[in-house]
Amino acid sequence: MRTQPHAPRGYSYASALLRRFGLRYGISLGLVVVVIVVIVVARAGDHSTDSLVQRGADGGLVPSTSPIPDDGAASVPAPQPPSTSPGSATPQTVASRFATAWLRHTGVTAAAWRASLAALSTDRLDGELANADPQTVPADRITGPVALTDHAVSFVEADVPTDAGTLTLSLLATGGRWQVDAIDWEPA
Amino acid sequence: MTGPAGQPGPGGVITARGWPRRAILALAGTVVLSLLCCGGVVSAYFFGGFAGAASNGADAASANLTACGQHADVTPDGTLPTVSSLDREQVRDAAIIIKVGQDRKIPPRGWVIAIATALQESRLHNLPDLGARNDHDSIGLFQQRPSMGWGTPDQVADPAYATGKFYDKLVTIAGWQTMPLTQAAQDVQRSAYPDAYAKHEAFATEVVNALADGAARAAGSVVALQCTNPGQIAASGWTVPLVARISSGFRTPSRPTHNGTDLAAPKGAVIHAAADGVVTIVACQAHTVSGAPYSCDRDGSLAISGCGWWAEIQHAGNIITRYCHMMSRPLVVVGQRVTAGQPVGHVGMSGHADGPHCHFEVHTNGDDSAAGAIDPVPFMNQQGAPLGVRP
Repeated sequence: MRTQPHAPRGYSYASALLRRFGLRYGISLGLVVVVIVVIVVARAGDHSTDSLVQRGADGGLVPSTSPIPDDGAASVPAPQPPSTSPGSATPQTVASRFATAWLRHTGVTAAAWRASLAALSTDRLDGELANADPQTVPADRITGPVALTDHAVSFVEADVPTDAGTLTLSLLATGGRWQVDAIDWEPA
Repeated sequence: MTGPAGQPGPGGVITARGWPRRAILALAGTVVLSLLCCGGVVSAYFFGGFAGAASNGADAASANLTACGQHADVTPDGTLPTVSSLDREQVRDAAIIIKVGQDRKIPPRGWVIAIATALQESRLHNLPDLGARNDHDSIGLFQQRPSMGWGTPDQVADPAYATGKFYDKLVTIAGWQTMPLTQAAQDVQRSAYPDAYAKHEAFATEVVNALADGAARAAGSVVALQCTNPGQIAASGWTVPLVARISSGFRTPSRPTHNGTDLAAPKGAVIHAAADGVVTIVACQAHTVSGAPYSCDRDGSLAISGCGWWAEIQHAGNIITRYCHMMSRPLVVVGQRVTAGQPVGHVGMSGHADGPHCHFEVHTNGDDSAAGAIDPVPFMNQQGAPLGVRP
């Protein structure tokens, strides 16, 4: 039977510590103990993660001791250079032809403008241009060389500098034949 | 030690009252020294442990959406939050676009489309007729042309009117809620640069989230703002690739070179494209320890290196997603344009895997090397397509 209120255990340890070593060293020692406990607990949590990792048979998980770095790409291949089938125009040529036709937007009907782009466009882009207004072409002429960014063997982007900003064309190849699939515009 | 300060109080409780200055100084000094000495270690362990817990075991935590527009009342003339890189006028114009959308019961996908469109056409500035510097008679947030029937010059110069006209047109397009942003925007704008709107999708999402309590995380095509169900596409245009338990997180203390999130699911479960984009890689990557090629059409193991059957998709705004360890050749081909939610392949364990899962990566800045990888969990949360199993 307890008649007196009992202090929690931690307090009695703390007071014992203080009695034994005095205030300054007692508190320092206490803090050292706290830090060690925190580190041990944190490490234990970390380890439980590890064991979870090793346990998870359905998870395809990797123990940290694996000789192989991890389950992502062992190496990321550089984008392959764009491939063009023999006799077809290179993406550079297609981009520059398309840009020239795209910029020729004054004194032309919407239908004629779209028709001039259709042969160089994918069906998707041709569809997007169905109701497009050539009056909204914001530039008049190409001012420098076309710059290509390779994304894949059948996907490149072409930046065409113009007098009012940069025209960026996405080109896709089907069977080595390049067509423009998307038109992006960034005003200068 | 001196005096009564060091004496434990009744019941062993130490009271701070009456401690001498020296003792307090000593205590403070010790605390500072402890922090200086071990603080880094402790916080490193805490931080590492926290990150591990958030991404590893605690699916519930990682799948928790903070908000999906439940408190999305926007008052353009009231106090508005600041949004990085936008000035007050731009933020106000964005708020008007959202407010008009709310008043007209336009689902939140429409707000994202409208803001992305205005970012392209006017950088969210209510532009006057700029004459030769402009596209002919185009005016205002959406660069609408009075000569093409959008309204009088005064009308289209009013942001609320211009926004209303944009939405009027948008809702007439069949399926606008689920089509790629740039297609919906183009069907309204009829511009000569139909794909220019897509690159603003990510920032428009940020703006809507900032101004309307995370509304871009809500299901995109539902007027009543609510967080997405697994498989739904959020107003941001993103969806979960696979509804599955997170079995391992991004760069945890035990796996510092793990540049993605592992989603554990039964073999054959369908993996979906997380957003619209173009497929840039479809390949088999599996090698034995000696470097000999290994088939991706059979299960790999921890003794095999590589992603197995994998695919990579380039999205608008230079974001890239990667999907690894499929059980068979992916369902897409290089150069194919895919839409959010489109099947990409099936969960397997080809390459470096000891169980069926999809290793999912997100990269920014168009950098598909390890340096470009970001933690997919917070990223997908921001898009309203949280990874993991929801509570």
